[in-house]
Amino acid sequence: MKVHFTTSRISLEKDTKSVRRILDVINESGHTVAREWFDDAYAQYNEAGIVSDDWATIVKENLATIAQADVIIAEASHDSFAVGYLIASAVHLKKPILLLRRTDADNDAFVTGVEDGWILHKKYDEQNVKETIVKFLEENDIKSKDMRFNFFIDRKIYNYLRWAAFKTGKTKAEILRDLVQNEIDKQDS
Amino acid sequence: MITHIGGGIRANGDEFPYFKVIINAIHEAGGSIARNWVQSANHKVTQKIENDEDVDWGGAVRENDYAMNIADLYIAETTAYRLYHGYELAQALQKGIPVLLVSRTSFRPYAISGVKNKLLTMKTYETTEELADIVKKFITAHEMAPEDRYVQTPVDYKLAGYLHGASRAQNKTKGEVLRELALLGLELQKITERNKKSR
Repeated sequence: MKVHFTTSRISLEKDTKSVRRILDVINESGHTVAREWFDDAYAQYNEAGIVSDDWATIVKENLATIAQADVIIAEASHDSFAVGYLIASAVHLKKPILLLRRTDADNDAFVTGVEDGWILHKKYDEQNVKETIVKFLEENDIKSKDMRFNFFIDRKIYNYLRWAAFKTGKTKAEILRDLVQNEIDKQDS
Repeated sequence: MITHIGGGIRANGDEFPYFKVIINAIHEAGGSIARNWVQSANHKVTQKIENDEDVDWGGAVRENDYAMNIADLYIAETTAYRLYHGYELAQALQKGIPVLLVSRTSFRPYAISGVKNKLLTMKTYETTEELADIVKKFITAHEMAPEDRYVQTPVDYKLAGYLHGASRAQNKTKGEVLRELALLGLELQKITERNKKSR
């Protein structure tokens, strides 16, 4: 699965160890971090004292990555307006979100009241961080699950599918899956 | 115009005067507030309620969701930025609601400055007068003339029959009948809120 990870810029300064641990757990679990931004941002911060001066590009890339990701993990021990924005964007796209806050993080947080079905709030520490993330990833891993949906097509598309099915000996559903898979392969290459 | 207000408040309550300025400016511009949470938040600070068990954040979020659903505009004071208000910002933009973010510090160091949306206005201010002016201009700029509001809604056979009958009996259009029913609902809401406050 593709996992998009996000956190606040304060985490770069104060929680580097925790953030790296989370990223390691994601990778060790056999999943892919959708956008590897942390090391570059950390280097930039150490060198220049700022994370970026091109926030528009970063926000755009984050939103695109959220759209492509299967799940989102957000380290939200420190307040971040932008992380809140990205979480809501992910909810809008119906992506499962794991919202992690350290056990020693401020309890007085409005975000703990967000009870959306797509958001899982979890407190973590050094001892349970792996178990927490692995459990979330397992529960949302769709590789072994088949999904199904119906959608409407017009006459033109229907005729094409019928013709293609006749020509190739495949079912209309197989043709559609192949077409989508081709698009995915193009994007990944 | 109904405005939903958002924004972070620090433990020392430094932001309260600015929220009061925003609320007053909205009223002076002829608008109303979807949910006035500022007083209860002030109470939390003055009573030094610090443990999250004492604050029903889930309830507060649900009330904010309701406020967002009825709001025409969203204004957030973001000097003391909070993750939750970034969440609300995205919700407002997803609903197509114009948003004004105001802050006493520059947005530039923060990722939120990278959010580009034609509905989003970000303004910094230094004085309360400046803040009031920014809010009033925002409200005025987004004021919709009555004829610009238009609602289309499907109705079932029963409702259609009622509207047809009421329209003939009262010699009004079905739209006028619906408007009067909605106004009646608003009046009822005001009476209910007044009764709640007087208890």
